[in-house]
Formats: sequence, structure tokens, C-alpha cells
Amino acid sequence: MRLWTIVSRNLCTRRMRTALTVLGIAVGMMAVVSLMGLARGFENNWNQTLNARGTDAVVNRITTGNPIPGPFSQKFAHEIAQMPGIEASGKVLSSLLPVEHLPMMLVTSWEWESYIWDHLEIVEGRKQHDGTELAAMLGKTAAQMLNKKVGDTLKVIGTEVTVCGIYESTSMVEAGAILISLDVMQAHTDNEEKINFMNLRFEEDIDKARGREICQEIEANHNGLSASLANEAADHHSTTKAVKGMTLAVTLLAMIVGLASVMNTMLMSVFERTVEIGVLRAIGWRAARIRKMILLEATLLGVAGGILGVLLGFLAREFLYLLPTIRGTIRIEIGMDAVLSTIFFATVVGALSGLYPAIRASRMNPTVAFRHQ
Amino acid sequence: MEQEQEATIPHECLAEVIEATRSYENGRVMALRGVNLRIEDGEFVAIIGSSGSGKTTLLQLLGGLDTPTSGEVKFREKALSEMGDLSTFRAEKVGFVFQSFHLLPTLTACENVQLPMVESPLSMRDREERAIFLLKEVGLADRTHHRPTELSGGERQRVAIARSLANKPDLLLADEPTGNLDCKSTAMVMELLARLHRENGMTLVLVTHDLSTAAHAGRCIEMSDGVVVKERTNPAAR
Repeated sequence: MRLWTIVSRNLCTRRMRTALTVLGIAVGMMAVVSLMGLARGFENNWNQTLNARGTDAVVNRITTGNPIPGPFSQKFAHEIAQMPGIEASGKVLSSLLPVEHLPMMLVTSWEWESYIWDHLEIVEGRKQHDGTELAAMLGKTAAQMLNKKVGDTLKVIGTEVTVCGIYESTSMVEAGAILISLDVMQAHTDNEEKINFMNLRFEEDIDKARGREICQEIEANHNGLSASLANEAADHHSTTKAVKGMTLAVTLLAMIVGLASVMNTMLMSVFERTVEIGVLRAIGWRAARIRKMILLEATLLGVAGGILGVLLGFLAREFLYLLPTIRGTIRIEIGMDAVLSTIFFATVVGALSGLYPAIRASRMNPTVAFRHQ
Repeated sequence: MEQEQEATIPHECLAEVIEATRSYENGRVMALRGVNLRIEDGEFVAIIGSSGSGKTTLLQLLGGLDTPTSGEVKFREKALSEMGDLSTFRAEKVGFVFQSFHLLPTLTACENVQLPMVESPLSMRDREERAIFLLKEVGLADRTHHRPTELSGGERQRVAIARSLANKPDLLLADEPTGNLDCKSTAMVMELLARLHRENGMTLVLVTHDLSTAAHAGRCIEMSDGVVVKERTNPAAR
């Protein structure tokens, strides 16, 4: 008989309590793993979007807590575009707006004839005739969500626009967006001469170090603007920061709830088994072995909670993908690193929670324990 | 019965209690008041007395479960107070049998018997084999995989006796081992303990308030109010 036999039997005997404790930890871990997946999904999505466009760097206003950075004057864009090492640039004005029955959609507008348009693959209809046409192209996912086809009209930015085309993009963000030209967007949203992103493509001979220097120059010359390389842009994005901040907060919360839950369970278990523990001490078990037994029980609860939490995280993701407002717009990428770190975290929480009950149990005097019955 | 016990040396002192007192609640309750007791190797001693007379406290001191407030307890001439962690002493030298059996309900009879051996260097297979052997010795060969709830009171106590013998202890301490048993089971358990003493030379100290149970012992010590008040030998039982 191994120590594991006793540990597993103890947990299995009080099934309901064990199950509820594991579930308590699992719910917290589900939130942790889902948020980690959300942050990863957003980062990858953003990188994918910029890669698809062939963008090397992004300029936007420094903002916090808002998924779309605030607008800034496009006169800076002209200055930036003239900087040495920059081959091409594209101005962008985006906003999250309610469209038809959907509470929020990404409406984005691009500088007419900039390089950003080049990567789109039009699968139906056509591109706008020029930068002033009051028409919208829909990403394939957006068209499905809005149930619109070429020729239909759509109320967006306070006016009726005609759907002139449907495009496909490898970027999930773009596939779920409504695309109009920059001039039309600026005119209809009171953002004359304003943009909130600037995409930059470097000349071919610009390496990463030089690219970073260009970004630093932009930030030095234009107070309040942030410039970052495309593959680092997601990290600097306020949404990524917000989701990561949320992940940290939920992780801490999950830790507190997990610690309290497992500690309560283990203290109750130790209390109920006072005589048993006294007997084990009486027949020669060392205090260290008693500690090990209780710690193993608590750790096992943590491991089980972590594994169940990860499984619930996957289930929650599939459930969220069923919701029309989320499907196609948010990607939750739960990677192996998130799975392992969540289970590891839950294991540590379990072990930490078991410390106090384990010490208490190991210090139990057998004669006092026998009087407990 | 197993023949593993080494031959005993007559009249060698196995355990000794010297001027032991034990008080609780800052001296307000005196469980033992200067008790002296000598247990010889191979003896069968019964400690009798009414509730609160101090007999269980004395047994706990002998087994290293508790320490005296003053005085000393020795085992083979060595003071328990000098042994440091008494877990090893309890695991290797002493076997305990309790009135309420104290078997772990989640484990089978065989697993319960293996519990004291968890600290021993024996392999898992050896531990299991020894547990099965001991259960066979106490007449429970067909109950090895039964949980305590599936056993009668007498059977549970026999499992507890098998458990107490797991590490081949020098001293077996039994605290009211028949207190929760019916007449038939009492007779069976007492016959088993007497046989252990008779055939293996096991040193046995038994606490009871039942005189007929105490009659199995070679020496009977009567306690009252924390002191030994009477001591008599029973040559017929020796």
C-alpha cells in the first residue's frame, strides 16, 4: 500500500466535498485560462492583420483602456511618411459602432490607394470606385453576421451605404469588419483630418534594429504618439494590456478563492479525521509523513481543479463561439503554455492551501486526538 | 502462531515507570501521582481500576504517547525523554490495541494492518505478505479485502491486533480491548492475546475494568485516584 492509496481513498470517500472544492478551483482556473487565451488570440490576430497588410510598423496615439486609440491629426502622418527609410504609409480611422442588430462592429476606413488595400481578395462585387463613394465592403464574416449581400444597403456611420463588395482576409479582425474609404469615414464621423492609426512599410534594407530606431524617432518628434514594430505592436496595444491586466486580476482572485476553498476543505477534513490522525501518530507515523499526506491531498485537489478548469475553458470557448456577436470577431487561443501554466498554478494553490492544515495535523498529540471522539 | 519473537530473557526489565506524575489543566487534575511500575520481558500484566483511576494515562506513558509531568519512563534501561522523536519508538517497539479499534474506515483489513509498516524499509510486496500472514494468524484469512464496516466488532479488534503486531513489537499495550465487544468476541480476543503471550512470549500490558478479563494476566495491578493501590500475582495464569 502506498501513501497515494490513503490519499486517494480519503478524497474519494468525501466525494461531494471533494467535487465541490475541485469545481470551485476549476471555475477560477477556467477564467484564468480563457483570459490568457483571449490575450493570446488578440495578440495573434493583431499580428496577423498587420502581417497580411505587409505593415512593418504602426503609429497611434498613446491611450489606455480603450480598444481603439483616440484620433490624432493627420498632418503628423504627412511628416512621418516623409521620414527616411519609410517606403509607404497608409492612414486608418477605425471605430467600434453599433450596426443594424449587432451592438458592436469594427468599422474601419483606409486611405484611398494606399498599400493597405492591396492584400484584400474581393470574392464578390467590387471595390469602391474612388475614395469618395458612399459604399462599403464587408468582410466575409461580417456579411454572414449581418446577412447582407452585394447591392444591399446598410445603415452605418449615421447614413445608408450600399454594399459594393465582399472580401476575404486572412485576418479575423478584417474578416469581421466593415470597410469604407477614409474620406467618407472622416466626413461622416466628425473626424475631418483625423486618423487613429498609421501603417508604415519600411524600405527593404531596413532591419529590425533600424526599424526600432525609426519608431523611437517618431515618438521623440511627435509627443503623445506611440510607434511600434508590427510584431511588437500587439504588446503595446491597449486592449492587450487591458486583457493582460484582467488576466492578472482574475488570477489573483482565483488564487484567493482557491486558497480559501482548499484550505477550508482540508481543515474540515483534518478536523473530521482527528482520531484517525491520532491513531497514525500512535502507531508510529512521523509528523513529516502526516504533513505529506495532507499536502498530497490538497495538491491533488489543486491538480484536479486545474485540469477541470482547463477543460471548462475549452468548453466555454466553444460556447462563446456559438454566440453570433462573438463568433468571428474574438479568437480565444488556448495554447499548451496556457494549459500547463494554469495546471501548474492550480497545483501551487492546492499545495499552499494544504500547508497550514498539514502543519496543524502533524502537530496533533495522539492522546488529545483520542479525546476528540 | 508465528514463531518470530526472539526468546525472552527471564526477569529482564523491559519497561519501567519511575515516580511518574501526570497532571492536566495546570495541575488542577492529577491523573497520576508518583507511580512506580516495572514490566519484565515476557510478562502479562493487567492494570485494573475504575474510570479516572489513571490506568489509561499510565498505559499512554508506557507507550510513549504521552510524557510524564515529572518522573521518568524507561524502555530497556533507556529513558524515553532521551529518545527525541518518539514516533520511531512507537513504530518499532510498541504495538497498540484500542477499545474502539481505531481502524481507518477507507482502507481494507489488509491495508489497515500495513499502516505501521509504512515507515519500515520493507518493500510493498513484503508488507502485504506480512499483513496477510498476520491476518491469517488472527483467523481472518478470508477477510483481508473487507473494509472495517464489513466486519463484526470482534473481527475489527482482531484486525487491530494484527496491526499492532505488524512491526514485531517488544511490548503490546491494550487499552480496554474487549470494552466494545460481546461475550463471544471478548472470549475470542482474550484467547488470542493470551496465545500471543503464551506461545510467543509477547510482553503484554492490558488495561481493563473487567476482573474476568484481568484474570488472564500473570500480574494484576489495581489503581485508584492516580496511584497503584494493590498488586497481586496470578501464578495460574503465568
